Amino acid sequence: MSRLFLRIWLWFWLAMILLGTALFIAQRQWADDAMPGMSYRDRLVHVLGRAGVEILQGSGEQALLRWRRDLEQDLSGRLYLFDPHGKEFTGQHIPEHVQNRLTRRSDPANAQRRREGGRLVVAELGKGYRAVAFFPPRSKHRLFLPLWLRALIAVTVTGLVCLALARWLTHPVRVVRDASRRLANGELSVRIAGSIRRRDELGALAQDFDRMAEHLERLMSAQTRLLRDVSHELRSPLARLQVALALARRESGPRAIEALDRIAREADRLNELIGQVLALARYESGDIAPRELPLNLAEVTARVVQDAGFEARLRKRCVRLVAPLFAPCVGDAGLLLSALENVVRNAVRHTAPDTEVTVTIARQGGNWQVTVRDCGPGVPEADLERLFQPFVRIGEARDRDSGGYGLGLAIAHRAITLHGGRIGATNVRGGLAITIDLPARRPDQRTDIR
Amino acid sequence: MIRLLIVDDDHELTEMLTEYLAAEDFSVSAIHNGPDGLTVARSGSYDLIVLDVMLPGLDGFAVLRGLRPHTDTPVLMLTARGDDIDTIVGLELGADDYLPKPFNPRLLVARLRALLRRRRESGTESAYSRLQVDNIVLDPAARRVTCDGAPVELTSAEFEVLAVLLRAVGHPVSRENISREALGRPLQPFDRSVDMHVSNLRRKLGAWPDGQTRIETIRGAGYQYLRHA
Repeated sequence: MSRLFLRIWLWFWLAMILLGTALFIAQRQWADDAMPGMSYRDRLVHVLGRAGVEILQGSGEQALLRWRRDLEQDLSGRLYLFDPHGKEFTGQHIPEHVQNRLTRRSDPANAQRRREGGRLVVAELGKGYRAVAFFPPRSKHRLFLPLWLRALIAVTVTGLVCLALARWLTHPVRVVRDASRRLANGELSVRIAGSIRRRDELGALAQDFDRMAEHLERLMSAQTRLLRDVSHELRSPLARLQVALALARRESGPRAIEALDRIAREADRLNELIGQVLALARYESGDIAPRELPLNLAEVTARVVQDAGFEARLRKRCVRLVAPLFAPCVGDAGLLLSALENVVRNAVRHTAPDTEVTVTIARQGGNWQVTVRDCGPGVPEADLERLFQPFVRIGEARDRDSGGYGLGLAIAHRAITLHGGRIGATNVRGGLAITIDLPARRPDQRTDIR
Repeated sequence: MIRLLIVDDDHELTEMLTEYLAAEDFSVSAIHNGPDGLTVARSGSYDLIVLDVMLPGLDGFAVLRGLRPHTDTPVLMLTARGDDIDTIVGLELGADDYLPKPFNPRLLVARLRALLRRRRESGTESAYSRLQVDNIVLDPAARRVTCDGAPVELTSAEFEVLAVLLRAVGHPVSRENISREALGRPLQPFDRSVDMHVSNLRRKLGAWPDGQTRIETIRGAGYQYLRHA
């Protein structure tokens, strides 16, 4: 539960409780002021009883009976009048329960009279006359609830209402917050107007957010598309260049060989770079969803080590693999292959001559940790973080011929992230270590590279 | 002279390739769009076809699809570098090999010669007799594979890879040897064609009902065809 939600809820609730209490007290106070010690009904009965006695004395018994009959129709209860001898002089039959309650009433120890259903009001009229009114209960089903229970119900109900209110107010804020976070993490396709359908300011905020996200997405995809299209277009001239180069090689004498080799190397480098830009553009575009197939990470890594080892031997370096036979995980073998390939080839490029690159796979809790260690110059601490950004050149001193870090690590970073893994770099003694953490799974099927 | 058809929309590239390949004893015809490429290729008077994926009118995959029922001329597809998906689709449709573009022309020649060598070997006296392992029967003379008597549609590359694996049933065969024997060329670093063909074979043959795989990956060694336990 968010803090904002809790705050809004509790403050509103507290305000409701205070308001209710204030109203209750004010009402009590007002009622007491108006009729000190006497309720409306008591006073009414008192007044009516006196009027009845006046009528009896002034106009006789017949007039009194007529008056009482009319009155009873207006009141919802019965009215009895007693003379000083305790005799009911309107000649009505007094029901037994009323009689009982009257006699018991004289006993002050009895406080239970209210509970018996209906209400008995007795008004002393002076000179020994008494008026007794009996109001039957309005309904048999009407619950009588003690004050604390009524208060509890009120508090609970207001609590629930405030809860709904707080939710209604904070839900959109939460949605916007989650969406902003996802947007910041590069998930540019996030939209929220669908989950906040309202016509108020919060609804407008959601729509503004969507417009912003859409704009961002358009910009980003335009950038990626431009990079991709440019790279794509570069491939045709490059293909021609390679054929032209092969022709030139055949036509030219031995003096041009060195220059042609140089052109060939640069063409290969350009070719590789274009391939990397295209791969990165594809991963970044989100068009590819990594397949989730069981695979043996050790097998994938072994294949990369085998291929990179071939390349390394040509440059008098070697690649060593230390891994268990079986490292089950789930993912896209093609993507993982390209991630590992980029990291390992990068290490081969930077490790010093006659040294080796060590690739280890080890279990780290719920992860497989692949560490690729080279014996190279390492990277300044401040640049470690930037290593995984595209086209980052580390330090001016870095050998240009090594090709820099270019895009390889950016591609690896993207591919590993797509698998829910992490990739990081640390300087170790005499080299750089790239660490890849991938969630390990226990696949119940056989694993093969597909 | 080897008769080669190149279907690619890049005029300058095909011109230079024609020149380059002429010295390698290829007689090259170039077509620059899909529909014409398909018509010409169907005529069947070529030893080899090089097909670009990106073509105006009809893309390379569509041309290949239109081609396959009529002719089994070996096809090498030029795919866009880095587009794995294209590669897989191309091989499934029956391309015999693929080469990411841009490519080194020397590599193209080597691949083309490998395709021809393989075609000649399979065309003449079979290097091996009929093979049967469990419910799979491979008939080199008819170039037919059946599983429980039902024919399995394989590309010629897949056929050769399966033959190599079946001959060594129960023993691992390295990717290097599969590439040499089945595809007629040495394995290059970062070359995924063997894996692609094996992956297609697994899919087309299917696993045993009890989940046992037919072709197992042996780490660092290659692939192995397993007898059913």
